[in-house]
Amino acid sequence: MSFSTDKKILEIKNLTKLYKNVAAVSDVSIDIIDGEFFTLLGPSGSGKSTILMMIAGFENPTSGTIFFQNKPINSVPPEKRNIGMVFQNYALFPHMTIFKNLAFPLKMRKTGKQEQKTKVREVLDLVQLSEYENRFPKQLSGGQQQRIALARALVFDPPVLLMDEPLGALDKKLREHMQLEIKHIQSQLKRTVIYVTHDQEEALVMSDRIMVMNEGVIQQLGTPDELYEKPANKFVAGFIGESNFIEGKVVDIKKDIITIQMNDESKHKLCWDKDVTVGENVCFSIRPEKMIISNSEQQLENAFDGIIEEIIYIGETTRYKIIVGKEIIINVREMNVGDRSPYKKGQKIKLSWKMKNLRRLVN
Amino acid sequence: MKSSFKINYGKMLLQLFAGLMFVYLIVPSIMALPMSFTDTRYLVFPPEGFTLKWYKEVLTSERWTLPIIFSLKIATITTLVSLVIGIMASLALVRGALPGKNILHLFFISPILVPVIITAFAVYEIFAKLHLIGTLTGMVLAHTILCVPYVILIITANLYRFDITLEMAARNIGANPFQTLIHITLPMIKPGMLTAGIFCFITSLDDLILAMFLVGTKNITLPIRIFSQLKFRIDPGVAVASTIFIVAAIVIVIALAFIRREKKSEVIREG
Repeated sequence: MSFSTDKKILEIKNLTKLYKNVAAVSDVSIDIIDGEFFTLLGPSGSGKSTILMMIAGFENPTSGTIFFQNKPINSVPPEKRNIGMVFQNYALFPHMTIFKNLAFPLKMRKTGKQEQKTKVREVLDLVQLSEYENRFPKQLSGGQQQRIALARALVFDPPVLLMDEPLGALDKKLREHMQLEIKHIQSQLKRTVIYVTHDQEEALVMSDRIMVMNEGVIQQLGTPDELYEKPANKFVAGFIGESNFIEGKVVDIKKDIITIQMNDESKHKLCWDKDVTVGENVCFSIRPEKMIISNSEQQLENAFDGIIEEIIYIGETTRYKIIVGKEIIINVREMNVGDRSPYKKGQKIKLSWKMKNLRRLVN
Repeated sequence: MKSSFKINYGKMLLQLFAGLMFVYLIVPSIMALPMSFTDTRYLVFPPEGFTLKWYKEVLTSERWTLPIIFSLKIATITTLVSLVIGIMASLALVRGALPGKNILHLFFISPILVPVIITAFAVYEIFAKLHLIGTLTGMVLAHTILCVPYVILIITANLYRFDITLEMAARNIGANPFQTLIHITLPMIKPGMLTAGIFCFITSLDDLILAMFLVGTKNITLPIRIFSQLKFRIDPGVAVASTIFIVAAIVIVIALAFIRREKKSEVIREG
């Protein structure tokens, strides 16, 4: 998908929300492209839900503008926005049958009775719950209620669908199943989805693009693999997947080999061919699966000496906790392709990596 | 063996105590029932003979039927007016963005805290000037003062417990605030409305103090009729009126319990 040529459906400009002078959302600008699955990812209190509430019209921005199909909607009441929303607790009306829940948006739009029936049956079919239209919400399981909530947000054909941690209340297995199902329905209907979650794995699985937020500020915006392979800062590197951080002060540069003095005062050499000056503080990140453990006798240029502190076997991978220097901990993950780990606890090893897998982060 | 005997002994004591409490609470209420059948011209316990003539008298003589109808009218209108005012006030107190909501809440409930006789005196002074003494309007207005606080107490509790995302969901899918109120909020607080309504009805029907100040000479309420009857001419008609009252109350309570059980079994089926 090439986003530059596609049409914007929702545009957020310099959006800020203050609660008693604390910025829940701070100067956020985004363009959402028609048909994309866009995820707002961040820990709780990062401002992601507040943005969703402002798009839905339940919160007023302190400043900034939201454009929907090129029209500003700041002063449009929620019921006139025509943006569907799926709530975390589903928010199905307990006193109405499934049919009445689904027909409600159509009834409010004064759709004819016959058309109501047709459309409700259509969405029930889509979420594969056709035989449940006369039940009440409480008679359905969590996953089924979730699907009805999705159907209710789709039945009136809104161009944009908001989803606020919709799978938070489901168990892991059902959650994984629903992720794929929502994704499937979204691509089938070519609907724009703005999805809020704190689960980075869920975001990676489902999204075309992800915006990572922390404390109301955008940390990084990009495709899942961009975020994973090229995290912009320490927060993103730590929040999406797992990262090892190599931090310290550059004390020596010889050609492409720099020496870093780490926080525990130990000095280590590593290969780095990009701009760096002596005396500078640097922070590199590297993923656990991109580190290679080998026997300590080998002579390697780009390697640390380390001692294996812990070995954890978890089926398809084995995780190693390795101490470098005095107290720097590096996590390593290796696929279990052959026999079980040839290394033992307490063994001295060399820890190496390819230079291109090392990423320098802005502090 | 010994210990289990002891437990039984304790349990028996408890049951005896519960039984005594039950008798203590219920007997004064049902004393009127046997007395209403007495064949004497005065109230007596135990009743002598058996007759339904007092029932005939109460249900046909205007001395009784007019106050009964007047009381029922007052209670019905009071209930409706109190529910409308109380629900609107509750919505403002719970959902509204009012400054000093807690103080307002307390203010709205304050009529409960004031002895009725003081309210009655104050209302009498004002109503006399407005020529509302002895009118249906006057009685309804006065009883509404007593009833609105109960409605607010019950409905605000309902609204606080109520999941606000339901209202947000309704707005999101196209309902304006008024439609949301009609289709979502009110149906969701229906049990509370029912309870509050019964409370209002009984409070109004039961009132003697306000009525003593506010009824005129022509229209009187049922409690006033019973009271004056007891003062001047103690005939078994009083027992009949009381019995009708009690039976009506029991029917309402049973109906409520029935509705509750229906609800519970629904939950169990769903669970």
